Amino acid sequence: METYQYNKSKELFQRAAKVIPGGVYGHQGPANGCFIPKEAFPFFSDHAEGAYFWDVDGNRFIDYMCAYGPNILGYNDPDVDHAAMEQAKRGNCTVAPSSVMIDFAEELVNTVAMADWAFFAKNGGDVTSLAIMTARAATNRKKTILVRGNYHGVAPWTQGLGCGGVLAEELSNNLYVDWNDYDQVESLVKKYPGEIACFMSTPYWHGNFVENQLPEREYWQKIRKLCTENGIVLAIDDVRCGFRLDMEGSDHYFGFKADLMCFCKALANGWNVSALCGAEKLRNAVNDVFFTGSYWMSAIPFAAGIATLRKMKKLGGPVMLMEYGKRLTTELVKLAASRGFELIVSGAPSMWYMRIADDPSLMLHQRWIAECVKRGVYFTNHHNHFVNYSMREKEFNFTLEVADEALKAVKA
Amino acid sequence: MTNQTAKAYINLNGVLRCLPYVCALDQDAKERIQGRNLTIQFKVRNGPIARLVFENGVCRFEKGKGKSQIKLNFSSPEHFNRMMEGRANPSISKGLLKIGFLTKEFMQLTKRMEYYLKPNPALLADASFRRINTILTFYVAFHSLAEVGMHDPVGVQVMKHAKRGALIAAIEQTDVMVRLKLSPGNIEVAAVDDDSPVCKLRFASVDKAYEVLSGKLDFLTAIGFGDVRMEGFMPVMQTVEHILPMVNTYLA
Repeated sequence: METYQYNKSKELFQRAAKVIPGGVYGHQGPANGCFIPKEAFPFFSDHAEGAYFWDVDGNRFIDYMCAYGPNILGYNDPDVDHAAMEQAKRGNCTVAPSSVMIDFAEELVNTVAMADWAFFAKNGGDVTSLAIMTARAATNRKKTILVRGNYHGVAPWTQGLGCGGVLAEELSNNLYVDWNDYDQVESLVKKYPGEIACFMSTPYWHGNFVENQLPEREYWQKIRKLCTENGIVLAIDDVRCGFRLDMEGSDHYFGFKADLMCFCKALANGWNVSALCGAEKLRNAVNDVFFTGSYWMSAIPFAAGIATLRKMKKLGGPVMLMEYGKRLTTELVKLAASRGFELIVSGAPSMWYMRIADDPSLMLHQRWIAECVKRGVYFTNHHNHFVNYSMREKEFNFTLEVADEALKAVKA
Repeated sequence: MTNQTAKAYINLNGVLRCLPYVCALDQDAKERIQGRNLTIQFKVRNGPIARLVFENGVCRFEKGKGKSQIKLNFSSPEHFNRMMEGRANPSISKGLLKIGFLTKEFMQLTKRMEYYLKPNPALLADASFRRINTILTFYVAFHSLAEVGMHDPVGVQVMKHAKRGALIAAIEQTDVMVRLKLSPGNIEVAAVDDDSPVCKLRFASVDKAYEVLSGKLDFLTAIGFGDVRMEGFMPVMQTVEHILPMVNTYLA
């Protein structure tokens, strides 16, 4: 199996670096840490279809990052894109919002178990910030409990001291606990009576560079009770997990009911929209927050979102994703073992995390991932992966073939 | 915003610590210490203590107090920092008879250091000068980084959440390398043959290191170009990345 070359990507990066800070900034940039060594990864894509994208050098990849999550049905899904194009003919960014916004909100309220209303924005970080502000408005309190290692976006409050442009004052109302440690949460609630507005977390711990951890038994039920008893808003950042565990929301999957739920990624199959869903009791509070943006009521993504939700439901929800992920990771573990490596898989199968054991520097794991990417299976080093509905037997078999070739290359 | 105590630690354990590299790399400095065998101790009240040892034509730096022929005392971190800026003199508690070394050779050595670290821009056109400038800048930056992490108020907060592991920073095609050992609340420069690193940061060449360290090429773009290579356990690298910009603030 020949390995890929990225000459055109490199040429384009030279151009990009002249006019774009860092060439490619943020999570898709080569400095982010998920592309090690960066020589193994393409910088720019040319086009995409279904489970695949093609880079500017013509190399084809199965995308197990699914564009970092948004690609849930497959790239260019015909039903979603048809809905988007039809809406485009009628209008998109208009002075009064399209009524399709109501349709989308109704679709979400009818889909997500805890939702009585939906508020739309563009990115996951928009709605995590809105969730915090809504909780503050509802409680007239300042503090938020967050779980160490969770990612909630890039607003200053979500980052750490030492990150560029972040002030200590912006973090001064954050309180941090370790994942799955109920006692720490309870202890903070006792320490700051009447001061905590919100507890925010992802539904399970899917941080980078760490084994992903599901909630311990009764964890969420105890947190729910604690929040209710102390007037704390329970906000779930379902941006990454949303619709990959349960169409009704990840709180529903884990058997509790959140007060606020943040959705983005899988919401519209790549069309740019995010949503904060809330319980009735927080309707007035969210109304008290002035929060908006130039493109937040654009109609095309709403139409795409409706089509995406309907199609996912028609396909039976994330069961198919879970099954594919489970089968694939089981075979990857076996394959690794047959080549003398222990592969550790964690998290939900539809968005699994993996690493090679006994490799504290992760350099061996990075070499394996690099060999996979250079052969057309786009994994990344330290982030959870994603499955989408367009991945079938063909992709499954090709992935295993490449993974084995890559293991052999690492072993050599 | 700089903190005077942190600055004193950086000035002594980051900047003066690199005087041995000046003595090794610069012919003029090398000649000045030939035949001079003595130790200078720098003691800063409420701050760092360290010694520069000159022995058999070699200079080395040692943290902490010890037998010294010349002892220089500073009443406060501010006092030491003013001395480093040439605006104050130390209090000499021992070694008045050897003051000639301080006023002549030692002063010349620090001037050679300044010659390379704060260069006349025209000199940087010369490849051999640029090489020494880059190597010294590299050492000062990474030694100072550990001091920022231990003594700057924000650096201390960043270090509280550091992951455990050693990072190697190096310039390829040379033997220039610094190993930093991190753990929650602690960062130190360690011997280069210590534990296996969990993370590596390598500049592709002296010229590429020069471009990045002088700010002519930003770090992120350099990674994209392959002029800086990173591998391993990135959370350790991220801690270093958070502290490195603070080093610039102190050394500017």
